[in-house]
Amino acid sequence: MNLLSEANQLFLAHRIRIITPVFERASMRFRCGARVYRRSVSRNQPKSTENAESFLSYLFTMYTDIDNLPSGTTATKNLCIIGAGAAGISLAREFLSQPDVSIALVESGAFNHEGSVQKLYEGEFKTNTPLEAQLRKNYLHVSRTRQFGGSTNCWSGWCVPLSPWDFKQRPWIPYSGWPITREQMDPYYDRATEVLGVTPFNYDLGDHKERLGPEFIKDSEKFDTQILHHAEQPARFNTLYRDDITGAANIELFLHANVTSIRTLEDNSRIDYIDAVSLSGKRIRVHADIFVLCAGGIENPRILLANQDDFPRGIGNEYDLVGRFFMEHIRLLGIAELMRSRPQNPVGMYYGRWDALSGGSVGPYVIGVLCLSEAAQIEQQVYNCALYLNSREVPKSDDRYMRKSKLFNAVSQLDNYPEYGNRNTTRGSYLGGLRCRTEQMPNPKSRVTLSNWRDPLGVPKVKLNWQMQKSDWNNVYRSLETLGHELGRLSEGRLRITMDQSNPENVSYSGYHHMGTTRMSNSPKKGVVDENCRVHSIKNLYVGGSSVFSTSGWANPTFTITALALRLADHLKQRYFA
Amino acid sequence: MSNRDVVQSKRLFLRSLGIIPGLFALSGLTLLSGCGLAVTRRQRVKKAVRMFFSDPRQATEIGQLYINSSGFDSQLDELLDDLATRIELRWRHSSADAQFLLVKQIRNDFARGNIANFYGWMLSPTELRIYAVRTMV
Repeated sequence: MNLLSEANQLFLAHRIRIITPVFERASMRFRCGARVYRRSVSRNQPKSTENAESFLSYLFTMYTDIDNLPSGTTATKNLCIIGAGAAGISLAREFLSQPDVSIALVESGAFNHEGSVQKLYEGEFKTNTPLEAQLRKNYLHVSRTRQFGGSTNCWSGWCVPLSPWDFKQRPWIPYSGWPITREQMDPYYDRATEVLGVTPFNYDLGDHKERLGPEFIKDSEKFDTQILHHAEQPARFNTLYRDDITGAANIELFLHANVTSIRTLEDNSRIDYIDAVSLSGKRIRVHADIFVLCAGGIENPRILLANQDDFPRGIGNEYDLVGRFFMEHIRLLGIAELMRSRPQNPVGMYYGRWDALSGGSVGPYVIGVLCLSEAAQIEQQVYNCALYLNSREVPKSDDRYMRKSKLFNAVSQLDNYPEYGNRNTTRGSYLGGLRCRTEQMPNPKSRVTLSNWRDPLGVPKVKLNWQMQKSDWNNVYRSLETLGHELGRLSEGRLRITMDQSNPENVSYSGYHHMGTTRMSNSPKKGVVDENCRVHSIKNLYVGGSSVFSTSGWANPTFTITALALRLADHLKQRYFA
Repeated sequence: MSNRDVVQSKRLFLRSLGIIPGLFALSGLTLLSGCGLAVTRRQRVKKAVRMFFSDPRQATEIGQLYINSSGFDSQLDELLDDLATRIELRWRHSSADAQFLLVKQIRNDFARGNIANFYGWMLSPTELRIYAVRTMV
């Protein structure tokens, strides 16, 4: 009897497991369809048959979980985008206005986070920073999100473009220089604000001084203040653009589709099709005219390297560049403490504040950071680094005999001469600690390769060896020294460097930003993709995302990833789909 | 040798006898005035340092730490001379000028990267000497 009831329960559970997703999908489609219909009605569009048609077509356009398809299904599209993250979705959305361009958007995950899919990210991780190795044992697993929306699902929301000199060739930084300029990127940065749902923002401090307050170091030729602004609500592409993608008549979204094979035509100059497999073993094949790989800074090289059927060294890897130059944003906490001689000058901007826009409305959350100016970088031969003031991260003082307040008051009385002279009543104020985020020098030894282990789909796992160099930390130290000199020179305060120069790797960790593994260069000997993000040796394969970054700058990458995707969309439209 | 020559040599001898004490007097005066100049130079620096601090307690404490760590104990004159030399103090400079020159020197130290590490803080050697002087005076 017990056995019978147990079997009955199992049967019911099994039925529920099968039926529930079907109902969920149907109800979701209906809700989405109704929303689109209501939207079109609310826009006072005439209630024509066209509206009703679009409503019906929307209702019945389905995203496709390949687990529900017969194995071996084949799709033929104009454009195949691999990966539905910041780059992939931004790119696909650009074709919403071109219904004649059919698109396959191939995503490994689904709309919800699934542990079994996320586990496909696992691999081997090695680094020369003990702190990172200790803190982030699951770096590969936790630093990315394998589901629709990609890592926008865990995006912090900070937006700042790369600096103009990040794009330039700097002779003291080997492999530096992008084949494009910041001026070429500017229109796409503007458009990216719209995609990411952030308030359009002018990053020139001059336009905001009145609202945000004065610069921390005035009249300095060596330090600039740069502003980051935060999305009011960080765009989670999973929810923000799910309706757009699933509702588009020309976009077919394949979920649970993990690309396992990329095959080329006979002459190896063009990609013919890709094969994608689900964890349950269902297989689809997508033929397309153009393929764009947008799977992230670590998966992009992994997919290229793992496909050795037509290319023994991997796709686009003729010069052994795929996977090399892996860069992260090196973060260091508590590297210095800082005092100010002139506490009367407000510095709230550097701690972060809500920007008040014209009309009294609250604007984006902004924060100012100190960066070495281009001239100072050239003079000091250092690379880009952002110094954040932080009152909470005060380094431990190694001295218990000297009370800091004494020094601050004494220094302040000197620094405020001759403005106050004998009537000096100003006292120095303690400002707190400094932390920094710096760009990493492109290093060919810091790289993504393939592990000997394979994932459940038979694809070699990734093996990441993130290697920093002494010069990366020396760069931070020299930037701090320059700040110390500049503070004293301008009588603005004093600095105490607490960073341990002998063992800086002990306090360094990553920013979960993966860059540079299919770097951009006009020469196939120096980069994997060209200035239009096309793989040099393949005529119809493009790469999107942060893996194409030639240098990393210090700026959070999502903004640039989105801008580059929009630029790529424009290129594809002009070149193939005009 | 004629009588006339003898008279002339006597006169020369007597003149030379007068020159020697004159020379002595002159050298004495020079020495005295030199000491006087040095004294006034130190005094001007000393006064300038005093004028900086309306509340000298903090500077005094920092100065004492510096003296203890650097071995400048009871070497006030050396410190004052060192400061005067650093700022190239001339006889025409007043105490107020000295004060201005000291601040300028601190800024120059930072501009040139001439930095002293004091308990980890990046300070100018000139300002540390100022604190030390303030402690001693």
